[in-house]
Amino acid sequence: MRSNLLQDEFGQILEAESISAGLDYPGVGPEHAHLGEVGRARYGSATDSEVLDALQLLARSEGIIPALEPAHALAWLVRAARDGEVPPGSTVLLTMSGRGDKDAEHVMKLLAGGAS
Amino acid sequence: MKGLPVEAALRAARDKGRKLLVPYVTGGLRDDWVAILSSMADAGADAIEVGLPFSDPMMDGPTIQEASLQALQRGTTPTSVLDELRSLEAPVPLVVMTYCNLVLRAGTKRFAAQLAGAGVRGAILPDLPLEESAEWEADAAADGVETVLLAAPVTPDDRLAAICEHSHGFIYGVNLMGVTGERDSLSTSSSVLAKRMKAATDKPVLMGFGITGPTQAVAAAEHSDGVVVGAALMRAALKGASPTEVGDLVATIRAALDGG
Repeated sequence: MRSNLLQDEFGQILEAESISAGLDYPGVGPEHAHLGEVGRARYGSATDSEVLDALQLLARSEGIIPALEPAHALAWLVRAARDGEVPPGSTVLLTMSGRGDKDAEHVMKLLAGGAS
Repeated sequence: MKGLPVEAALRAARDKGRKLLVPYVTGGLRDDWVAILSSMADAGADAIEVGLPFSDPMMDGPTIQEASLQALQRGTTPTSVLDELRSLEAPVPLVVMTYCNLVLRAGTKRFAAQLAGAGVRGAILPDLPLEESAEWEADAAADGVETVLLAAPVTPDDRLAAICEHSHGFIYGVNLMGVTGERDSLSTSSSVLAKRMKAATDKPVLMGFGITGPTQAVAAAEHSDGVVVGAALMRAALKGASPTEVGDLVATIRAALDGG
């Protein structure tokens, strides 16, 4: 089974870049590649600043500090709700795959404007 | 067809009572890497293994990782290495060592044709499992490219038999459970594996990994048909050894294998 990779025209693997350690990888699981290819799932993206905004939104509104990985899903949802892609009143299930304690120091530096 | 077939040449040399020596050079390592290759051939190599550098060389230790990175940073690509080989009339068979993603990206048929066009008649793909090798093996064979498979100290007997059956050119015995690179002494697992491989096949059996110099080469060749030497030569090349100096290292191992 093959998957999708960040690679050049010759197949050399390229450097990934993410503020989230868990997403800093130049490939995706082959299950996701397959689900995307057959149209069973859609995959979106979120920018670093959207992710940091979403993390703070959840922390302030719910008292839950998400890990940076699910904060990407949260960021996508915030944008989709604002754009109307997810209509008001929708029931949304979001997998909170990790807690943000592990990212606290990293996020503090990012919010202070420093590098990781 | 350009290039020399691997297994025929190695069998012929072995059957004359010669211990086989296959040095490795990272393609595109330096401007003069082809001169290093030629120097290895002149020094008594029976075939030469040419690394097509890959970004994630998971079987290689620090030395060949560094050599691969240096080559890639010079802008080396599979195409650039093969282009340089195409204009060479190598006096010994050439075998590439690379990783599957470069093959899959190009497509197995196209990659095999590129190798054959450059006169490369063998390929080692360490991350290609036996169970998934059929497509590549068939496409390679159609272009006269022999697929060399690897056996490890933990390979069970039934799997070793299957590897020996499907491997062409030679069977590559991995001396130890680890990555490529120099070791102080030859792993004790080497002779056990070499004897098992020799009992399982009549094809040439070469041992590699951790062959630092003549002493380990002679020991590894005692129960096998010969050795592959890579990191020790690339360490010298990375330190700036001239093609002649790298050739001298190969010649020293050649002499030891010949009992000199």
